[in-house]
Amino acid sequence: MGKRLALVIDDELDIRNHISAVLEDHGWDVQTAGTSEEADQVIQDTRPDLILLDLVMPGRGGPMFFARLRGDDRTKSIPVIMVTGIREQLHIDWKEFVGKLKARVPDGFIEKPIDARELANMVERVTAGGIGAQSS
Amino acid sequence: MGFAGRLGLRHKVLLVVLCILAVHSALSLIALHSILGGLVVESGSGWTEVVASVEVFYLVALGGLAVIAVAVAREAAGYLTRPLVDLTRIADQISVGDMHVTFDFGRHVRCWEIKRCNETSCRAYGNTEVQCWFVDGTPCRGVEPRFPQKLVQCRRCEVYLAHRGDEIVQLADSFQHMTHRLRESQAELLRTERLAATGEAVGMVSHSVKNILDGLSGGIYVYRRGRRLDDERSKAMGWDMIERNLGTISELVMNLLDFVKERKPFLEPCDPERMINDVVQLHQERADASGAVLEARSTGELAGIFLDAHAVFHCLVNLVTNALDALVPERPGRVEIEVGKEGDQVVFTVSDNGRGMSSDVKAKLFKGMFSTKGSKGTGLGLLSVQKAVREQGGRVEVLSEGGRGTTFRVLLPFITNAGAGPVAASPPAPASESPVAAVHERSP
Repeated sequence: MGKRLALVIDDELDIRNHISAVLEDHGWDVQTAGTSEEADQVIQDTRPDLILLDLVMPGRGGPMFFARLRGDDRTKSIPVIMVTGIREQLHIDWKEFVGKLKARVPDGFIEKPIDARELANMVERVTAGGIGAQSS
Repeated sequence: MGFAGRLGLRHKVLLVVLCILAVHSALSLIALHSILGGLVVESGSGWTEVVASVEVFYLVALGGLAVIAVAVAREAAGYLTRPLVDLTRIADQISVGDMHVTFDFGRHVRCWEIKRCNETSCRAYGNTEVQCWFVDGTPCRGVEPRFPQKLVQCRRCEVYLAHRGDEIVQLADSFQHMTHRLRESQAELLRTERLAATGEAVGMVSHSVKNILDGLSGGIYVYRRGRRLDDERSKAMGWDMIERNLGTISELVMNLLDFVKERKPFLEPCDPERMINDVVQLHQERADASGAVLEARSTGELAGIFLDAHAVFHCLVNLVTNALDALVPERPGRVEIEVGKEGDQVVFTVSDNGRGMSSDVKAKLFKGMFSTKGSKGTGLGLLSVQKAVREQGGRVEVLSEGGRGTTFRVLLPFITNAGAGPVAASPPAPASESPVAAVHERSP
């Protein structure tokens, strides 16, 4: 039984390092991507069990990347937690946004600065077996 | 355009005077010759020599009169055209954003001296830039407080009567007043703009601060994890994160304080060539580390210039840092700083062959906190540059092309005769504390 894999997508190196450390402490393997292109490559090579996605991404923004995840049969069931530094950005009408895709809204939202315990609880909540379950 | 249309006003006046003189001389000579000719016929040929002498004398007198008339006309034309030439020059200065215009028509009256007034709090007291009847809120008894309503009473005032001049003087007064109002409204606009930008900056700064706080708390988390697991790599990474984010927050706070603070330029004698060499020296190590070429070049005669050296140096450091950050690994990096004189301006140019900017990025450059550097940038650097340049009555131009590089041009007034000090760049009027200049964004 191997560890489960999380993909952290954020253009900020320090945010990637922080989230990775928290997840690794809770028994996850972590891969990181600084751009949506890097994230595409990781998703092509592996199948993450969880994705933490920065809402404000250079190039194709977080919501567009999220829409593509939900629109792809390979990735539409992967739990996604959106990360943002601006509270107002959480107020996107996700239901309307994903309604067109007939897909579910992001599984969780977390605001920077990230609280390690809050992140761990959220990850536990959105992943079926809980953090450290290492079911796969 | 005909011949007359190409002549200046001064030459037109002289031409008219000469024409009048020529016609007058010809007619009077003909008349004189007829009269004296009749006299010779009636009185006999003995008068011929006398008549000839009278005619020669008359011609000489006419010549003398012509010389005097031309000299008087020349002086009169000069009186008319000199103020017009000055006003044209001043209008040209204003039209390119240079508000440091001065008037010298020798007609300024000092109301506080004429009226023996001691109201030192009055805005007209000690004001040698604009006449008192243009100033709002003067406490003169029985006078409306605001222009132009107050003019009705002011026209009867001894100060106004002492100053009253011809149409040229009145034109100069109105022009002076117009410039004063323009300067006031631009200063007000700058203050409003800064307030709005400060509000926006404070709003936007929360995003940067959250990223930095996350970097700090993340750094502490990663460092502690390293200690817990006895993992040197994790400890080093955590420490790096803390250091990096402490640096960023220091820069953010200092830039924010610098941006919000209203500062008068302090002009002092300056050697721009030495300044750009210092900037190069400061960044040489970093440029060498990334294999980039960093060069300074000076063109033109720049001796005797007065600049706010501290502010200009800060701007150049900011721009060169940005230029080095913008270099790309695909080609050998090159950053050039140049200083030279263009007309009545000194121009600092910082150019790089880095990634350049899209039109979208260029449009956001001076509009609030925006950075393409992720956690490394605060989004305040260029705003600070713009503010410092504006305070010195200059402007910033940007020339950039995505994928090919960027050139920033800082254009400042070439001032050589200013007394050193904090108010040297601004005219003395109270409302002129913040000269304004446009920010230009150009496409290649």
